[in-house]
Amino acid sequence: MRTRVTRARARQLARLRGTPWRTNAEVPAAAGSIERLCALTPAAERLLAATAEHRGWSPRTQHRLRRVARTLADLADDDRCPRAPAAEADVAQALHLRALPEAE
Amino acid sequence: MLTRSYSASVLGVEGFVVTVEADVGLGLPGLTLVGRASGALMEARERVRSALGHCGHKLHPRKQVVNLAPADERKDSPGIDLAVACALLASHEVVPAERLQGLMLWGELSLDGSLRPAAGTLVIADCARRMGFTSLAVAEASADEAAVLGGLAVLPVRDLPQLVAHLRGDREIGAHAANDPPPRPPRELHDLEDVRGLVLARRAIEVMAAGGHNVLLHGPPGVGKTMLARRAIGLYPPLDDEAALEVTKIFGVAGLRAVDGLVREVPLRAPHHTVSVAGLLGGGPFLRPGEVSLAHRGVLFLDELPEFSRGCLEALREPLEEGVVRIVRARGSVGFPARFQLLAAMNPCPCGFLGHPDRTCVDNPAAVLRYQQRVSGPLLDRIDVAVSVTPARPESCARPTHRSRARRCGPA
Repeated sequence: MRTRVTRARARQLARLRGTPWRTNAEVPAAAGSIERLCALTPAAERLLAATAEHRGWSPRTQHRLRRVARTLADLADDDRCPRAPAAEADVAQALHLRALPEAE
Repeated sequence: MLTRSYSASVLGVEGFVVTVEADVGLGLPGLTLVGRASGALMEARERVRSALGHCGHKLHPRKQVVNLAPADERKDSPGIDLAVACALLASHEVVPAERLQGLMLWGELSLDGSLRPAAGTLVIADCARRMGFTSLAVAEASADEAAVLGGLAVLPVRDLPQLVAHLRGDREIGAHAANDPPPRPPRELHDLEDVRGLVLARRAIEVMAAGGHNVLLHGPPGVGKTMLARRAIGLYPPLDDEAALEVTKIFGVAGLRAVDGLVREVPLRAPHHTVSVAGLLGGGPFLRPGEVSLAHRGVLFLDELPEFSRGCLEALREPLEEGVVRIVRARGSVGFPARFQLLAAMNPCPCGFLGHPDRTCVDNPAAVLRYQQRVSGPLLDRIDVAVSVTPARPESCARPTHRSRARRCGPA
């Protein structure tokens, strides 16, 4: 697991070179940086937008999920190019990893 | 004769130069310290007088005035002692005044004239380098910390007579060579490899360490939330140079430890839920950094999140977003870096068993709602990953047999 984390960090550093940020979580939402640096495939964009509308999420929450999806793509074992957009599966997993406690 | 020496004082995590002026003139004999000295520095008068006396330099029985400029900034660190002593020595013509130019002095005097390290040495060294000083005299114990930056001749001083001999040119003190401290044996770090079950929670921790996200773990008591959180720190790579410098400065200002070189381990701060707002964010009479700043570039672990006071939780919102915390008090304002990751753990309800596969929750719904509402929506909005930690099944907790271990060694 530590190797995966180290590799994901290296991928982020490579992608974020030339910016003041080091991790996906630090990428600000302003001025389109997040769309550029945490890009999603069209199918992934659709999934995120649909779920956000369904659950009434704020733009901030959507941005946070976008960053998490990017991290999941960085953690992936395959040899995707670090600049390739995050896939639908990454977004789906990010959505799954956001289960806030709720009263039943 | 009017003489000057130079020291510095800490404001937030930055230093500013303090010019110490000493004058001996006519008037009632005594030593007066002016220029908003407060706290431990107020007593510098007595320490310096005694230290000079013990080193054989009695002050003339005349009126001695020491001014700390800029006079409108408050100075509270006893690290300025050494500069006060040197300015007085120069005004008594014990040491040549021109030798004090370009030299920053930082250390606390003890009554017998020996020099003690003062907190915040790295911040002072940074300030000296930026302001064009060529050398910095510090206590021997903090020479390593001061030499980390380079670009400055660091003079390790044992006691006042040694510095006097150096300033007179009798016996020069050699500049301290920045030697990397022997690498400390790595902290006993637990990886998550030996944790069984808890697949979702382990994934959440992995995402947190990889991407710098904020995580909330919620679940019944005793399933391993706290255990996971404490192990998370083992996944982080060591801090790079820039981050290590920032963290070391904050630790130094907080007086947490006498640093021998840079802090390389990712900080983990786990304040108890009774922490006060000032303790969490920073503040106090001398504006010290709080837990959020001490967790800068690291992890702030808040166990039992709903038990923290409302003020504390809401106060986290701004630093979570901005990465800095700006403390404003009547006396002034100061910004501390606070780019930390939040890792929180909580039970889903007061009894803890809501959503448990085998046990029933005994709380009434209103109590559950009240408990969960202690953590506000805006705070939850700033959490990236939230997972429910359910108890690991007994079979997944069992130690792996040889066969299953052989299987695990496959492509994973």
